[in-house]
Amino acid sequence: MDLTPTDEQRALREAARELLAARMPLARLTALADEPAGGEPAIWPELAELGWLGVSVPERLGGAGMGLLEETILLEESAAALLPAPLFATVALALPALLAAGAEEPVAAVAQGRLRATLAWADPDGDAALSEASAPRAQAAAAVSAGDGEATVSGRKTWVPDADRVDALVVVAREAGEPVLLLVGRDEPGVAVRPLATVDATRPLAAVELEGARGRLLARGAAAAAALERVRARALTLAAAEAVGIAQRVLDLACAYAGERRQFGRPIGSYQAVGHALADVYVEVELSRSLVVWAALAVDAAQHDRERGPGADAELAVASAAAKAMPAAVAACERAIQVHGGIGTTWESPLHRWYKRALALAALDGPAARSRARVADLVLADGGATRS
Amino acid sequence: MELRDDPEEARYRAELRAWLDANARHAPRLDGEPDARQLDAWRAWSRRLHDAGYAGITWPREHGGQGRSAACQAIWLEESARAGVPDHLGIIGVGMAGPTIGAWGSERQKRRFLPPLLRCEEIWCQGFSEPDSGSDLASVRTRAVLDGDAWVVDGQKVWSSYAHVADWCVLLVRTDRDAPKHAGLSYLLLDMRAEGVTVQPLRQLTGEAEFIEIFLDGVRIPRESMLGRPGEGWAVAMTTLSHERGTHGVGLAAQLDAELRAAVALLGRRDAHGRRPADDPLVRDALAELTVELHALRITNLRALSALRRDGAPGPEATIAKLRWSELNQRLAALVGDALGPAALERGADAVDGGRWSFARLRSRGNTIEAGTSEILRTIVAERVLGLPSSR
Repeated sequence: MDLTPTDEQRALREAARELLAARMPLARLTALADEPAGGEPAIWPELAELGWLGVSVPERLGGAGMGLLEETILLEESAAALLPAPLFATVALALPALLAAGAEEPVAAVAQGRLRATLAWADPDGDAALSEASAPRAQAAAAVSAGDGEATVSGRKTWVPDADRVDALVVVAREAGEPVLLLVGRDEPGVAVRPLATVDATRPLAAVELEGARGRLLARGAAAAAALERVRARALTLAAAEAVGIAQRVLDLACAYAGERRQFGRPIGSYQAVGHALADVYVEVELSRSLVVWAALAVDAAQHDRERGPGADAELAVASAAAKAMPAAVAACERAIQVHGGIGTTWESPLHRWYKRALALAALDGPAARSRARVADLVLADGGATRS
Repeated sequence: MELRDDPEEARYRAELRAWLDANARHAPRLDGEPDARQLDAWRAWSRRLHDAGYAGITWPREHGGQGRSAACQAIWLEESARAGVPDHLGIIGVGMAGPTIGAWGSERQKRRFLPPLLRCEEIWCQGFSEPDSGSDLASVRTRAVLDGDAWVVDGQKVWSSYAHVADWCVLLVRTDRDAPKHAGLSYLLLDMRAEGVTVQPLRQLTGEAEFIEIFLDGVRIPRESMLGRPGEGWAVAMTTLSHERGTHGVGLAAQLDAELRAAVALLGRRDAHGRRPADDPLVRDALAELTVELHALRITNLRALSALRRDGAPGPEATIAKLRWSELNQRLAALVGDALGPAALERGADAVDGGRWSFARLRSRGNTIEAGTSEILRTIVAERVLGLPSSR
C-alpha cells in the first residue's frame, strides 16, 4: 500500500498545471465563456501532442497505456482551470465506449487528436441519469442495421455535452429491444444539433435530432450494456475528479480572500465562524479526493483482473465517489460565495463559473441520493460495510 | 499509487490473520469498564501480543519493538478491529509514553522503562489536562519545585484513562512561573505509588468511570525522572500528542468500520413480520451516507499514513482523522438509537446487542471533546493547513 503519487504522477500534474496556467488564465477563460460559442479550439492539438487524449489508450493504438488514476489527475486540473474544450466528453464519455467496443480506428483517432467525440444517452422523455443509460427508457432512439457494421438511427437525444464542439457522437439507441451503440459523425446528413441555453457556458449542452443518420455499429445487446457500464464507472470517477478540482480551486480563492478582506479591523479569515466553515470545506475536499483515488484504483484493478468477478469493490468505490464529490463541490462553491460576501454574487467575480460547472457535474447522474441508494444496495446485500 | 498490500504487507497480514484465528479466543471480552477479572485477562492478552511480536510494532528494535513500517501497524489495527480483539492494555504506554521516552529519554530511562511497558508489566497513564487547563493545555498550573534531589509536585490532573491501574504517569508540570507560558513547563515521570498521589474515579454521563482524577500533594519525584530539560516540557508533550495522530486514525476508522458492520447487521435483520429497520428509506440513506463517509475517512487515513512513511511526518490530511471519526461515531450511534426506538434506551446484558448502542449513544458525546475538541481541531486546520490568520 502506498497512496503517495509516483514521480510520474507528480510530473503529470505539474505539466498540466503549467499548460493550463499559460493557456487558460482567468481573464481568457471568462472572455471565452461569455462568447456565444466560447470554445478553445486551439488547445486540442496541443492536448494530443502532450498525450492527454490517449492516457488510457493502449500503446499499440498510440496511447500511453496508463490508468484511470492518471486521467483523474488531468481532469481534476482541467476542471480547476475550467478548460472550455470537449475533454470530458471525449475522454470520459466517448472513449470508454469506443474502447469497450474494440473500435480501434476511432480510438487511435481520439488519441491522435483527430476525433473529438461525446456520448448522447439521455432521452428527452426518459431518465437523464448516466447510470440509467442502458435502461430501456433512455433509448427511445431506434437503430436499423444496414449491414457491413453500419446502421441508421432516428430519434431525439438531449443534454448532450459539447455536441457542438465534437466530430462524432456515440449514440445510445435500441434495436429489436436491445441496447445498441453507434458512432455517428456530427456532420452526417440527418444529424441536427441544437445548442441549449444552459448555465455552464464552459461545457455547453445540446439537443440532437437524428433522422435516418448513418453510423458505425459499435456494440449491441450485452456488449452495449457492458460498454455503458464501463462508461458509467469511468465517467463518474472522472466527474468526481473534476468536482475535486473545482472544490479545491474555490477553496483556495476563498482562503486568499479571507486573508485579505478586512472588517472590524481584522481579516475576516481570523473569525472562527469563517475559518471553521472553510476548515469543513477543506475536510470535504480531502475526503472526496480520497474517494476519487479509491474509485480510480478499484476500477483499474477490476478491469485488470476480470477473473476476480465484476468488482463489487469498484462499484462501491465509484458510487461513493459520486455520492460525495459532486455535492461537496457544490457546497464548496456556495461556501466560497458566502465568504466573498456581496462581491461573490456578482458576474464579475469568477466564482459563479465554477459553481455552474459543479451544478452541471451534480446533474450528470441525478441526485446524490441515487448514488447513495446504490451504496445501500451493495452494503445491505452483502451484510457488511466494507470491501472484501 | 497502490492500495493493495505489497508482498511484504500481504505476508504480514496473512500471518496476522492466522495468528488471530488461533488466538482470538484468549482475548478478553470488554464491554464498558473492565472489572478486576477482565483486567487480569487483558494483561494476559497483552503479554500474548508481546510474545507474538504484536506489541510495539513500529518501535525500533533497540527499544524492544519490531522495527516494522507504519503500514504493518495499520494492518494490525485493521485486522484486530475486524477480529474484534482489544489492543494492548498499555495503550497509553505503547502509543504515547513509550515513544516519548524513546525520543527524549536517557539510555538508562529507555532500558528501565521500555521493556516492562511492552510486556505489560507496567502500565502508564497521562497527566496532562487539569480542571482549568483543557484545550489551553499550556496553561497547566500543577507546580513542581526543586528541593534537593527531588521535584516536589502539587496540583491536580484530570481525564487520565487507566490511572487507577497505572504504575507510571507522564506528567506535565510548571517548573517556572516567571517564564512565558509554554517555556515554564517540564515533563516528569511519576511513580503512581509515590506518597501523596491519590486517584479518584470520575463518573461520566454513561454511569461508568473510565477517566480518573489524580491529586498530587507534596509528591516527591526524583530529580532525574524528567524527560528533556526543565523548560522543555512543551516540546516533549508535543511528541506525546503527535503520537495520538499518525497511525491512530487508521485504528479509529477500523473500529468505526466494525461498528458500522454491526449496525448494518442489526438494522438489516428482519423481525417476525419480515420487516427490517433498513427498509425505511431514511435509515437506508443514512446508512449509505455513513458508509461513504467511512470509506472516505479510511482512504484519507491511508493517504496520511503513506505521506508519513515517505516524508517522516504526517501530512495535513492527518488532522482530519479524529475530527471526522468523532462526528461519524456520534452520527452512527444516533442513527441506530433513532431506528431502534425505545429499545435503544435499554442497557445491560439483556438489551439489544448487549446494550452496546445505548452505551455508544452516550459515550460518543465525549468523542468530539477528548484528545482535542472539534473546535480546536477546526482552528488547527484553518490556521496551520489553510494558512488563515490567527483567531487569537
